[in-house]
Amino acid sequence: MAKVIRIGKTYELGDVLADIEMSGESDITLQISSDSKFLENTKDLQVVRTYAESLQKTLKVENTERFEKVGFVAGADISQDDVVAPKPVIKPSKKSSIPKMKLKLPKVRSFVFIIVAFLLLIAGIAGYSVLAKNVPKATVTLTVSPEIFTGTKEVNAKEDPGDNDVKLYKTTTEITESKKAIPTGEKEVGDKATGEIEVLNKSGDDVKINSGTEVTINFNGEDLVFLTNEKATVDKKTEEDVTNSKGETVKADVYGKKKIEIIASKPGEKYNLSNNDINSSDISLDINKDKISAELSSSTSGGTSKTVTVVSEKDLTDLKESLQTEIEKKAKDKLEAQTSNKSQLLDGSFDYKTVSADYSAKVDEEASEVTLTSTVEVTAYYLDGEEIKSKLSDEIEKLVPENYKVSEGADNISVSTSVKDIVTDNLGNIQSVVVSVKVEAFVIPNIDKEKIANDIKGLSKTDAEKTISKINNIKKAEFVQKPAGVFTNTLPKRADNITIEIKSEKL
Amino acid sequence: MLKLPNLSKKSIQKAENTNSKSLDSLLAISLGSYHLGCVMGTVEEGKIQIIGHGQTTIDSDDMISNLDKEEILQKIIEIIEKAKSTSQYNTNKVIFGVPAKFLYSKTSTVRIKRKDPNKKITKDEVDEISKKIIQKAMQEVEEKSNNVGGLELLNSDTTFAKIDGYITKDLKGFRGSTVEISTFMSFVEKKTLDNILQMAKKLKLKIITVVPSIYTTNKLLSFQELNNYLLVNVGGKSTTTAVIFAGEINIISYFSLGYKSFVNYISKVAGVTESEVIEAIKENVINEKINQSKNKIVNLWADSFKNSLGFIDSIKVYPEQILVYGLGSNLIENTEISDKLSQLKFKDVPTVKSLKISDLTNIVDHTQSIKSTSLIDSIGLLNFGFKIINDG
Repeated sequence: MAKVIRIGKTYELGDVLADIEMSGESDITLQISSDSKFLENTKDLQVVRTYAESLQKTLKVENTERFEKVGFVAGADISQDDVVAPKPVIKPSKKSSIPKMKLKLPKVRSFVFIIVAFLLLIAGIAGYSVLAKNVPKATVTLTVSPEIFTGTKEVNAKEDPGDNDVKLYKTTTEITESKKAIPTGEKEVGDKATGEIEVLNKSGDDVKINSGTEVTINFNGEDLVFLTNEKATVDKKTEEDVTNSKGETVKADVYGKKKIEIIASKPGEKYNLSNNDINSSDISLDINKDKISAELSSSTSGGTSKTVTVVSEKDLTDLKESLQTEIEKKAKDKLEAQTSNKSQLLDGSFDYKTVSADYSAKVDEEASEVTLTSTVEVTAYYLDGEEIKSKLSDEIEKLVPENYKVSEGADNISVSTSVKDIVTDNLGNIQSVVVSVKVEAFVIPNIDKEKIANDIKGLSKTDAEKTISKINNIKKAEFVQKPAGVFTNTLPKRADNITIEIKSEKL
Repeated sequence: MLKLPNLSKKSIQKAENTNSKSLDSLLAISLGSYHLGCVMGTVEEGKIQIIGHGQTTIDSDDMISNLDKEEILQKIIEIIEKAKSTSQYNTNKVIFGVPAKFLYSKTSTVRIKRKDPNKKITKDEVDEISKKIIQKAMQEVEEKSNNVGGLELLNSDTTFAKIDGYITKDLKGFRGSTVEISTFMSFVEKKTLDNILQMAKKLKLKIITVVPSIYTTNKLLSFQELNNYLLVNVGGKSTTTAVIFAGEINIISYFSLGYKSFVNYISKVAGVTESEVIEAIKENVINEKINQSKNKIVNLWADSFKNSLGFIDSIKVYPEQILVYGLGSNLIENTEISDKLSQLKFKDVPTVKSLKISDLTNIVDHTQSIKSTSLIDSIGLLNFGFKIINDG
């Protein structure tokens, strides 16, 4: 005998728990009244279940709504499903209220006729009753809306699986893709100005000047760098006889001189300088400055410039990243297409190896567009969804709540996976993958067809619909009655003439 | 009227005569299925000054749906009047706290590749990312909850942000290619929010905001040195746990066991009156008869606590510091629950510590009468409310 505990509109969980504690029975039935919020929020039920389990008591939960409808009060023993509403008993009155009448009897032939007609009428009524009770049949199709119950489980996947592992499958493909981009770099291009300086050597030693020696000319506050365009040696100073203003011959220092061609370090008009604008003090050479000085012996000219678009380092990096994203997406699509539709490609297991990458232009190269053509070898691991379902069948079974079953149909259990951890060897090869498997089961309540047929027998369609609508998860009821057009106002009075069919609503 | 030790008469006068923001007072009300708490406070010298409080119990499993009921409105008026009765301050500004039972909480983490890594991250860019996170989360929560009436965002907070793996609180001004943001959000059903707004309108209260109670309590603790912990509110009819990492809530979970369940259970099983149980708990004088049933219900609490954490998929290792507070916390305080939690992964042996009002360093209780931690949620709300006012 189960202990029945009623949970009404207002209840306190502590009281319910105390009732379970104090009950001597090992079976507890919780009867939840229709106005109670107990089943709306599963948190209360979770606590009660935890407690009942800790006391090793079996808990059964009943929604008493259907019993209340037929006049029962939750808390009474309603464990028998076949209870019906008590009907008022109408006792026949001992005294007939029909007034006595004097009958004027007809003649014998008419009397026989009347008797026969009366018997036929009785037989007709009886026949009609029998037919009305036994002939009409109805098929009631109930559309049930499934619920989703979800659970997660971690599994170990290996290419060579042990008993507790699932098989890890490897798949490979090669993707070649091209992508264009507009370069964003800029560069000054043009001609470099050339000219000539004359270098004076004030020392007693020859001065050697290498080609490419920097010559800085300051013009209007800006240092413009030129380079010597040839290798040269400027002779040391010499002592020569010269005649002074008095007509006397005296010894004097004569500096060594050498004209050297120079070229601007960069293209540009600003390097075109007139020798009239530049003094010796504006020019400095990147060698021993105490020993030498220089003059701009001929104006520099020929310098021109323009800005052109070139390929920058960043352009190539961005292009590579952008193409990689496309390749990753295409690789995933391709691998999904080449594995079975039940397979679960593991997101974290993708490995991309670039076989070739060709750019149409190099860094700093003038170009209006740059194209990258890349071939990538993609490897990924996947799991077989059906195998997981089979491996986790026990877990899936546990997911299905009491009084529910998995909805019929091919796709009513779905598994999805995500990689939790990847174990690799020293070379980075994947050894095993820890996968979190999310299982979703579409479940529908176990529906007692026989009980429903009993509950709705003899009811009008409207009343039958109302009765059915009280059952959880039933969305719709459709009635088909035979024979058509006869006895269609009410459902058959015999429960075994009502066929209940269950149809699962698609999610 | 209670004397206010540190608030000068001049300050009070000023509060009455000026609109000085720093001297504004505020009411903070936490709404629970069994317990209603209200504190009234003001701010002086950067500290929250509690100048009044009131609390009461109600018996309504679905209190928030019944906010229009005369009985509940009367209870709210009572606690507000009680909170106002100990000072000369007067206000109709209020912040409301919603319990976890009515919330849908979610933490979303996104990783975004930036188009231009050399460009500094601006406020607009962060706002745009946050907007997308919230929209997506709301959609997911709506789908999961099968909610038909729609949801409203109550609060969102960045749990952590990274730029190219570098963790920062504020992404603005950084350059980099990959942004990672983890955001904690709480949603509430529109009808729940509507009920609170209607109730406030009837009582002529001016709402400054509605937030999850435990969220603001955690903000109150952000002044402390704690970083990773479980914050557990053993409330009137349920227990709420917030899992905190780096000072921010990562997830909120709750189960249906609280103070009222303890009292009713012990009373029935030990065969004593509820008043006797309440008195025994309050005075911590528990006889053998009460102790046996108390141990049983606390064992169930510990099992349910473990289960509520076990359902959280996203957390693998829990912080070992468990901070409990709330109406039923003193029953849990001295209970050894480490064994019960052994199936969960902790870095170290979990320890339970009961929060005390004295732990709240930024709070001054002028009433000197707040003894239990049942008002901590309301104090957290008050602190958060002033933060909103000061931030404009």
